[in-house]
Amino acid sequence: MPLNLFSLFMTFLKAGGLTIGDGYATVTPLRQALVTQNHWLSEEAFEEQLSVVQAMPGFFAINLPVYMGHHLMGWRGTLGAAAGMLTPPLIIFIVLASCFNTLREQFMIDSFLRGARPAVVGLIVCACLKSWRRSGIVLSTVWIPVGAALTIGLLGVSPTLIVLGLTVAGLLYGILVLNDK
Amino acid sequence: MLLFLLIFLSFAQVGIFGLGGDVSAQAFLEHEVVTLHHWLTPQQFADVMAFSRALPGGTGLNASTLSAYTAAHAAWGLQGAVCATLVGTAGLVMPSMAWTAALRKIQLTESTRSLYNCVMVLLRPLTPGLMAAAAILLMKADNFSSWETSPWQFGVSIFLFVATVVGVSFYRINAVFMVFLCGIAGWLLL
Repeated sequence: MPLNLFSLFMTFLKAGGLTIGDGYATVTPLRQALVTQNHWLSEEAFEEQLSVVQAMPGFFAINLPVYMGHHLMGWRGTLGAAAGMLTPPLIIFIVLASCFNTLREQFMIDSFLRGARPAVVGLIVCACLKSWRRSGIVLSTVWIPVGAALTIGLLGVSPTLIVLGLTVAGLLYGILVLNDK
Repeated sequence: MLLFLLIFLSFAQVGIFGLGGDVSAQAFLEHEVVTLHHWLTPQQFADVMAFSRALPGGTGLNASTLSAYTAAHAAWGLQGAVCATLVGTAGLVMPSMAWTAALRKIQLTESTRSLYNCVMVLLRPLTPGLMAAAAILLMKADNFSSWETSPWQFGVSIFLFVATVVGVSFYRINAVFMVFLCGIAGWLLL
């Protein structure tokens, strides 16, 4: 397909918006569509874009169409790709939201969810363990994750404040060290 | 109108600062939606996570859609609620566009690179902490029941929780399959 606003929209709709699972599940169908089928991107370019998207703050499912759309067609591409990727989940959850609480109270669904709730919380802990192993935490930095988890989780401090605080601390330290040299 | 602004700013905050990937950005969303504004209960949030495994979009987008909807529905009915979901989505997309523009423009020079490294030394270990916070914010009697109300359900919940952590982390069981298994266990036991 030639690259235009409509084909971009349809590609992200089919490969992104209709793929079941979280944002990361869309990577394989999108690679298939963008690289193999349409040759809009080379394999290396796709991987390069992907690594930037993964480092961006915010949610993957939103950053991916915004960033890749911009790479392909500028801001119009962002609009087309994001519309394609976000429309299906948006419609599904607007419909679901209108009957969410009645749905949850159905007997079969209610007892299913009672078992599933501890499991989804467990999955967050799994992600946490995995990222703990990867992030190379040493004794001098272990206070950062432990302190953050306790203050956000138990005291209700805003994580935004913690990120801002650490950024300012890092900048101050950097500026002082740089000035000394 | 103030509510729309509140929804927009809340989600924009998640988009601007929510670093470390989906799970750790979820801690920002949970703080805004569950702790601060009470748009969703911890139970509703966990249910969105369970539903999101079988639907497109991912937890982050789906939970923000649902919370914007419920926040506005009481005051403005269906039309207001749909508008609120659009405002919320715009709140998530616009920071992403800002980051895109910034990342395309910024080129690190020698001095800014060392500053960047100083900041990242502190921010990189933060990611697992944010994920742990996302889990702690959902560890409520809502989701696990409690010893006082129902010792049986509390015990089963703890068991399923430990089984998921051990099964997925150490035995590499597929995450979606594990949630499904625990749901079946819920049918049989709860």
